[in-house]
Amino acid sequence: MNFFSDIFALDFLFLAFIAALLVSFVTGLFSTVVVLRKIEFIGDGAAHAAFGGLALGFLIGVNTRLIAILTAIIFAVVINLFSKKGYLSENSMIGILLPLSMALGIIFLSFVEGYTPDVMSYLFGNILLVSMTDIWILAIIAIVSGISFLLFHREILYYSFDETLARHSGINVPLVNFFVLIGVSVSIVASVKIAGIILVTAFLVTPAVIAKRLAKTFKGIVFTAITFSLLSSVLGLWGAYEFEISPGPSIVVVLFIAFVSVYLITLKRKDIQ
Amino acid sequence: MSNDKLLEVKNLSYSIGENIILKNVSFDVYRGTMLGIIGPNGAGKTTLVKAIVGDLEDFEGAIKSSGKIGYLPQRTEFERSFPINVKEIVAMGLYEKRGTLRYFKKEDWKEIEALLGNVGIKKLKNRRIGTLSGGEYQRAMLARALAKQPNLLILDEPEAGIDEMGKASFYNLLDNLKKSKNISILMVSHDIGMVFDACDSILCLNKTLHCHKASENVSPEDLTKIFSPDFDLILRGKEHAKREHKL
Repeated sequence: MNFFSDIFALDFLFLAFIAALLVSFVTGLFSTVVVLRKIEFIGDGAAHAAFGGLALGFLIGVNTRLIAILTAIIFAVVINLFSKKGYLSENSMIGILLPLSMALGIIFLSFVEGYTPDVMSYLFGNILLVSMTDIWILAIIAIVSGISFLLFHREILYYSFDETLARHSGINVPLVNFFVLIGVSVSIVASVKIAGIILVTAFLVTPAVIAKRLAKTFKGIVFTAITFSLLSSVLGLWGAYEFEISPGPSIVVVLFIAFVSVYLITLKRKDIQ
Repeated sequence: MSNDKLLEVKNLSYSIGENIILKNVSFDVYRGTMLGIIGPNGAGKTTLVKAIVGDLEDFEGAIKSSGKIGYLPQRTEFERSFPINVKEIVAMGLYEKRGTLRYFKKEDWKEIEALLGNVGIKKLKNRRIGTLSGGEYQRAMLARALAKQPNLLILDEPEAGIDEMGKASFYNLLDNLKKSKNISILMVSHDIGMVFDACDSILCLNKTLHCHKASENVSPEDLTKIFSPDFDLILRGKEHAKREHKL
């Protein structure tokens, strides 16, 4: 058995491989703005909210993906608004709302009659759940996100640097902010089957943290983050296949090894301390 | 002084709940003048600036400005490794003029270089913003504000993070810009000595306007009215200003 030949021989592996590449591209792209804008907590919160949304979708029998995207967006927008207005600290909000989303998710699932979905699959990812519909949705998200970043990289860069300066330079900051929050929420929900709710944050943070230590320009960071994200997914999937472990955790471990390696290699660079 | 009025602030008041931040503040700014706003912490200086530049909406009173405003906000903390260079910072200032979905052309980059030349940091154009000194950083931000070709430049504590030598050089640059481009400058500052040196008139603010006079006419009593807890320090600032002006 060989991983790379089996990709084309086994349908489920082929779907998982393509899905992992698309997830890596989208999360690698958004990780740049998540890390530069320092909104990692929103990604984490939205991922947990998506779990509550998925469970609610199962309970009321409505499209789970749609409900999860909606709940993740609502969560991201609310947490962003609250932290900006200073009503509560970001840490307090995460401490309150993150467990609540998970608790509601488990409560909703306990009321689902008949077939109850495997919670672990959503928490840590399960490539057997990946369908052709997922691939199409991921492809559309990847294309729209990629084109948006190409066209609006300047706006995203200025917004990430300083909202006040961006606003006074004529940039529609609320619109860019909304695009970023929606992009992060949608990419989280789209990544659930590969990464899982618990692990998706690593996909949204680690690639850009690595890239920031290697590249000096915004474009360079975006490109490097996507490259590391894609390579980690391929290596992670290979590792999962060879050692018969879940792909989500395997990819996360590869990302972490990449981070530690890059960190040690660049330890003496003073301009990135 | 020309009679060309660029900014008119009339009966400006702003409160947060019971807490009065500004009360009945009125003043005008004319073309070609440099006006310094001084006052203790919590006097409402930054709130006043925010109201003028449009960052505050729910205030009472009226603000009329004729012409373009270039704004240099208070310096905020940012990561030194943030991937933005000096040229890109100045390009921010050209964004509104160039518009969305328009890539910068050769002439845009030439304009950016000229702006950097105006503030004396052309050779730093490719440096990352986090690697600049305090004075160089403020010059880059000034070039960004000038890119809009403003006739009123508003600066909120531009001296923050600059050493004494750098401050003198920065204020000298502002004075040159005022003369060469015939623009007005409205500046909030904690550096009383420098403000007296550089500005034509001074606005003493502590929630209400205590005085608005030509800088040489501001008396120690005017300063103690607004700075009562710190008046010693401020008087020393005033003495410095007097020595400089040989009053």
